[in-house]
Amino acid sequence: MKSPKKTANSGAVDEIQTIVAGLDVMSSLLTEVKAGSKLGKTFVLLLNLFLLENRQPDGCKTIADLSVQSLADSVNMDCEELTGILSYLTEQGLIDCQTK
Amino acid sequence: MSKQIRCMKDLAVFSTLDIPERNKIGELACKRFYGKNEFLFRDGDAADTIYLIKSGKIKLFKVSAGGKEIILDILKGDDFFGENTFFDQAEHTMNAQAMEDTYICSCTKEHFAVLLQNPQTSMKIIQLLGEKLNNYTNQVASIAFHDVKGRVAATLLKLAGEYGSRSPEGTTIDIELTHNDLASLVNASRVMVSNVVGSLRQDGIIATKDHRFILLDPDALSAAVENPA
Repeated sequence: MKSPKKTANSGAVDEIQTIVAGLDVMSSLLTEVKAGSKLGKTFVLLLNLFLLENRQPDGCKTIADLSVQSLADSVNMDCEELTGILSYLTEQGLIDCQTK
Repeated sequence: MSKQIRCMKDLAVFSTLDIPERNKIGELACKRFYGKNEFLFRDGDAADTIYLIKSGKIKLFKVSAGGKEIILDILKGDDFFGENTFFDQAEHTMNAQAMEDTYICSCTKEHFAVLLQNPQTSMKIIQLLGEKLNNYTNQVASIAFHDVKGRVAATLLKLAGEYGSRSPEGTTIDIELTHNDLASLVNASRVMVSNVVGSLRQDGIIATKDHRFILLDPDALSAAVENPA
């Protein structure tokens, strides 16, 4: 049998690995949301806030003028903890967080 | 070997292949029976095998930090899982357990890579993975935007689409599903789910028989999703 790396459709394997990585992120997020963890609660709150916003010309939704402090108060955690969660969501490519 | 070919050739994922290609799959695949409640793998186990369900049902779940079982998906015949195997030195990030007696076809990462040489098979795998991603995304959205009644209704409609069989009474979801299972799927307490199920039953929208849900009025169920109380 030939080496799999040489014989496999490399474009398809790359595509599959990208989707599987996305699946890992979403399954972890789903678990956090279902478990009602701080990460899960923060993400659900953000989703609802995004729902209220209009879509920008670039297809993204932006929540303007939302302070970390007010968001932290809404989900009952301190700013440091929330910043860690926002960093995680940003690293996973789920949100983009820009500070003024 | 003939058993292996019989096992794999009927799976939808390989339906576009010709006979010689299917024979090749038969040579690569293994077949195994799992009894009800038997684990196929656990969270943290090394991921080195792709699993395809020939018949039966598999529950994919995680256990939260608080010890709560979180059901991510219920898989049926023709579904595949263990996709973390596509990465080098990967581990499974969830548990897989048979919900009923289940026949599984499996092959190693190396063997599966050989199957991916066929563009049609690759496209089918990508399509199925995309559907899985949509499913997880929809579940997150459903929890974020629907109340418990809406989530129960949406989940019953989804399960009816995947596992439903028509009967004179309505559409029967062909899975033994306890209120606990449903509660885990929709992320609500068992008591809350029992109340919602009781209410839907009282309104003549659903019925239950032998631990199976029967959809009597799917339109009313859809309305419960669209118009939360």
